[in-house]
Amino acid sequence: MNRSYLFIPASNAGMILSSMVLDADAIIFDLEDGVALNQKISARTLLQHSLDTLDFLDKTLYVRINNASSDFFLEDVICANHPKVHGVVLPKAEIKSLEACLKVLDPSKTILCLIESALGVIQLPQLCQMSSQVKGLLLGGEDLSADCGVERTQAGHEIDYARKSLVMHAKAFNLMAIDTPFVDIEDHQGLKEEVKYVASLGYDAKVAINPRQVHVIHEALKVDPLKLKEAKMIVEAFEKQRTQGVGVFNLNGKMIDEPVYLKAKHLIEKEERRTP
Amino acid sequence: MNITQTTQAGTLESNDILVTLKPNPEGTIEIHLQSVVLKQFGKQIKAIILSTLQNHGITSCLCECEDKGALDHVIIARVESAIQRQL
Repeated sequence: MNRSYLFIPASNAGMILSSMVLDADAIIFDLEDGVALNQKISARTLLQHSLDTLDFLDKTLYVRINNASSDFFLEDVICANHPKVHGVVLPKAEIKSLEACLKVLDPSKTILCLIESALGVIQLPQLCQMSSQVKGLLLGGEDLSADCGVERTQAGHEIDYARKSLVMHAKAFNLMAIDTPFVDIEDHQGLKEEVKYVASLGYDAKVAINPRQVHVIHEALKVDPLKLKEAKMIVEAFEKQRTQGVGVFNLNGKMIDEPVYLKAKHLIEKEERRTP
Repeated sequence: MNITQTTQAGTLESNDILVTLKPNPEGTIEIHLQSVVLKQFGKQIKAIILSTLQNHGITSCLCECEDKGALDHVIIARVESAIQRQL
């Protein structure tokens, strides 16, 4: 399971090259906001040649394509159909844009819906069910707050509803929940706190906009070893009790039943999937 | 195909190359290269630029390049982008 998704502007030859050796679990080559309008086509050309030539080893590669209503959309999707690319990040994901993407994207590719409009938020139930190619939801806090005409704050109360709604839909439809970037690249403490907060809501991963954020994200997503140890004890004890026909029992003063067991098991599985 | 206007692609950042294509009244392909690795890789870089131009049917141009350590695929991509901008 990917913990971090690092944006790399597809116009930057040096950054594409260095992305091969960075610690991020997944790389998102950005053809959209990270590339100036007059560099869009040359960025795509550079990305195509880089994908043909470079070996990204075990990195999961995504391409953030341009908006479905832009002139670049079709060629961007064709670029993302490259065998080394895992899938696309679909900006301004709404029913119409997802429909357009599904028409041209290779069926073997996955889609991460970037939820960054009010309409995208209220269309979450449909977006989650439109195609099995949709594997994740990614929150775009900056564009969403712009779309709502509100100021983006570090506290994030303005995106709170969308953040919680997104993770709930991701859980309901078994999709990855990926949180919005933390834009202050110097504030590692703030990033760490935000990662811990969104992880407590159920988020699986966070987007990074700078390579230095990746390590902070990975550290913050690590499960407390004591909690992991306790979870292993619960699972072991519950499975032993279950063979003897016991469904509820006391372990070190705490009541253990099926939901507690499942939560502990989920924690262990999540940690195992996250361990690279 | 002749180059009829001045177009540019690439940057002067590390691992990149800035390619400028201009019309050449002489009617030939002329490549001027500045590179941080000119002594080591100058011939190879010029060969890549020339073959990329020829593969796109360019028969006449003045190609000025400032290389900052670009790999082969970056050189090809930047030359191709400069050609695309002619269209």
